[in-house]
Amino acid sequence: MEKIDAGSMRTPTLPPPLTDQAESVERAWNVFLWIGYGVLALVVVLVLWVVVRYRRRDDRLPRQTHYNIPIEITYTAIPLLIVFGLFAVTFVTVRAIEDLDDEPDQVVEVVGYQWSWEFTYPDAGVTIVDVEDDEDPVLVLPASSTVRFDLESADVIHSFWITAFRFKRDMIPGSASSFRVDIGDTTGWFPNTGVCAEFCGLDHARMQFSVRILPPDEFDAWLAAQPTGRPVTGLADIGDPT
Amino acid sequence: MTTTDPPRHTGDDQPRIFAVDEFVDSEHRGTLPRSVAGWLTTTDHKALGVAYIVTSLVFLAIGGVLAGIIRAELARPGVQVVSEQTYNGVFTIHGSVMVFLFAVPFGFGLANYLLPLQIGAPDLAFPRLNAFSYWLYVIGGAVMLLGFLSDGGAAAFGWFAYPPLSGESGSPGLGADLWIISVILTGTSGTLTAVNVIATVTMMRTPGMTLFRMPILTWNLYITSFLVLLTFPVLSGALLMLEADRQFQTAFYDPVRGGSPILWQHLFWFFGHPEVYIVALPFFGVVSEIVPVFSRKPIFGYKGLVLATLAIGALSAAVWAHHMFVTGEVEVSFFALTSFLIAVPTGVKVFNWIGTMWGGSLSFEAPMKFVLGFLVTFVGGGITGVMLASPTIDFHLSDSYFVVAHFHYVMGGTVVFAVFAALYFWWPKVTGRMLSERLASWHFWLLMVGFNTTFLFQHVLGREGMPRRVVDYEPIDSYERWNLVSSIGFVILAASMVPFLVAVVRSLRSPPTEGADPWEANSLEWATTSPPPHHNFTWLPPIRSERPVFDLRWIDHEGVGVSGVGEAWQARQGHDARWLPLHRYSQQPEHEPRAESRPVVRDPLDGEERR
Repeated sequence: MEKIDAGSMRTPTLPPPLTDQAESVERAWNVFLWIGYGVLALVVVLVLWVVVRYRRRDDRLPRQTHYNIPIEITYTAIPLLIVFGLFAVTFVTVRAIEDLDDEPDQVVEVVGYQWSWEFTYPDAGVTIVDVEDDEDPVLVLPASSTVRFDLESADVIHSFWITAFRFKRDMIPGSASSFRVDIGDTTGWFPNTGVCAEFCGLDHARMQFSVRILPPDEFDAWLAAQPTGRPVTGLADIGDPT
Repeated sequence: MTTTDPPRHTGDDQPRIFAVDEFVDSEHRGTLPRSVAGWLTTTDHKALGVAYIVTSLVFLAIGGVLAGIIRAELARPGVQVVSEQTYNGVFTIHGSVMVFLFAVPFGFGLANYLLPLQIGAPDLAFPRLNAFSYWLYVIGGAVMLLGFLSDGGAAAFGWFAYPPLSGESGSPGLGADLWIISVILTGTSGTLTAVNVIATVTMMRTPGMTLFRMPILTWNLYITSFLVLLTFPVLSGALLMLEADRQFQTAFYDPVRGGSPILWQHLFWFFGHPEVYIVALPFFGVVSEIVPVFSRKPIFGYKGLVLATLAIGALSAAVWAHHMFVTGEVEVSFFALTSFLIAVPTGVKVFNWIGTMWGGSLSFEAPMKFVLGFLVTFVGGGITGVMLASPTIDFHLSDSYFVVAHFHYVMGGTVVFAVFAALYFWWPKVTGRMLSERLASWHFWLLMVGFNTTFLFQHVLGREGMPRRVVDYEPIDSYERWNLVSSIGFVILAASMVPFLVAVVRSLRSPPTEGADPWEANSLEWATTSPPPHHNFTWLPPIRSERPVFDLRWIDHEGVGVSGVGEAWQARQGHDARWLPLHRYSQQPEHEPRAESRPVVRDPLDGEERR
């Protein structure tokens, strides 16, 4: 088990969506993005048109139009229809994302504290804590499984954001929170995809973690090999990420 | 001083276009206080308006310097320029200064200077209360900046101060207490100003100035003031509870002792989202004043615009929890729907502005340039706002640089472009001088390029996963590239202020020679000298529409202005005092004829006979 070279772990860009929920977020994002481009283009074209077409050519007073009710109703009604459409897209996606599964394949308890993370697999009695040598802790997850995260904060508000999941949830001290994801079949090593998104004090910027997704059988083997009763530290304990 | 109207027709049968300068005596310009004691004791709404605007621009400069520290630190990965603790204080105070000490007070500055002028009033309803509000604001601002000098530095919990981080154990220093006290002081100042504005608009409109003849800016300041009354006291209450938690061992927000951190978020955002519109509505008003003037057309859909503002005001009180989608503690679908709906009246405004320009005769002096810059950046920010109003998308982008980019487009773009549009537009009214158009062009294009270079690519950073409020970031290619671009953009943005400052200095060194109405504008502030005299007016045109000065200019031409102005004009020949109730407030009460000595005249509108 070699020490990982930090340089080789950098993610070049945003990781691909790893969960079914992330896929549906991406679909909604694309809908919003293209409608947004459309509206922006419309307004920019209208502004450029009036600027060019109606620039002052002589000193005559233009026709003094005060209002035009049909046009005003049109440009109120069309945006209203668009936002109702966007709401429908949102409503359906949110329902799918917020659904909590009673029987997840794996439960992970996450505790956020100033300024790192602790991941516990309660069924196996395994706990992963901040690793040494200034490396980020690693969250190991099984591919093709349903995972529920139970979130808690030990001190101030943190926010558990896995960019590859396109999802975050605040960790508010005093109130536990849960969400579920259906992880797809992509496996691999996703460094720095875990971020604390809520400002939490001095070292907020360093409060990150990496995600590693193993095939289900390898995940089971890895979990069984971990010592119970003491926190697991160090990348060596977690295994070769390659 | 001229207080009578010249005859409507000059004798030869050619109709002519009147100019306001024919009615007001530009030798009788008003002045600002000339001594320190004068500034300290003034209750004149114009002097206080100037004081508000200058002070808020000083805070803009301070907030800008803090932004410079942020961009310098983020230009490269690693921690080079300031320590973590200092950085956290810097972005906290940057946000707080820009929101509480620049954007909101600038709007109050506009309300101070322009609102009485626009409704034909001699001052705000409560001038001493107004002076008190201003000084409360100055003291509040000073208290916030004092945080940097305190042990442990300034408050370092972000401008929305989430407990428990903002609590006693999370932020033990004095800086946090100073921040809380400062925001309570400025909030109280704002509340008092709102009371003043509401009383003034309700009670002190000049005869003829009905609600639906008020300039849109006045309407927006009026509606803004109701939002202030609704929300600022909530913030002050929430802050007092936070301070009590810190100093008197109460436990409103402390989860360890049974308090609720989420309660703070509800209270803060119940203030915080209407706050966005408290900032923006006055600037929507500025744009609605400028577009018609430089298009030579009336505002398109006046009533629709007022209704849209009312709808925004009403809806803004029901959208706050979209700031809390990722807490998992709110009904996201409800707040998504209300947040989407608020896009509709906002879009209506944009179309009204475009409709005003449509078919017009557009000229592009400095105010109009900045208004067009405003339109484009504002629509950009509005679109990302609709995206973030969808919880689905917000789950990924909340608290990322995407949000930073979004609110800099809506708050930064809206505010900064509209602030400069307002400064260029009303500068001749306030100073009696013009600003250089050539320097204004430099200013505008540098600002446009600088602003978009700084903030456009922050959308990419957020989408890629960079959280906000970080002193450092991973040395990933795209993070390094776009952060550097953003920092370079900030340099251009900062450089754009140089031509503006040069223009200001040059202008102030020249003599005040501008007439009452250099832009051929519409509303009543242009019907008096530049700068206006003490108590504002010695003469008022008949007010029969939202464009009394336009109607006056075209009064010789049947069918151009609104009907009824000509009759009103004829009726007041020789009976000026009847049309000048403002003599009640003027310094020269001997100008007012006794009621019984006034002639009985027939009112051309309702046919009643009165004195």
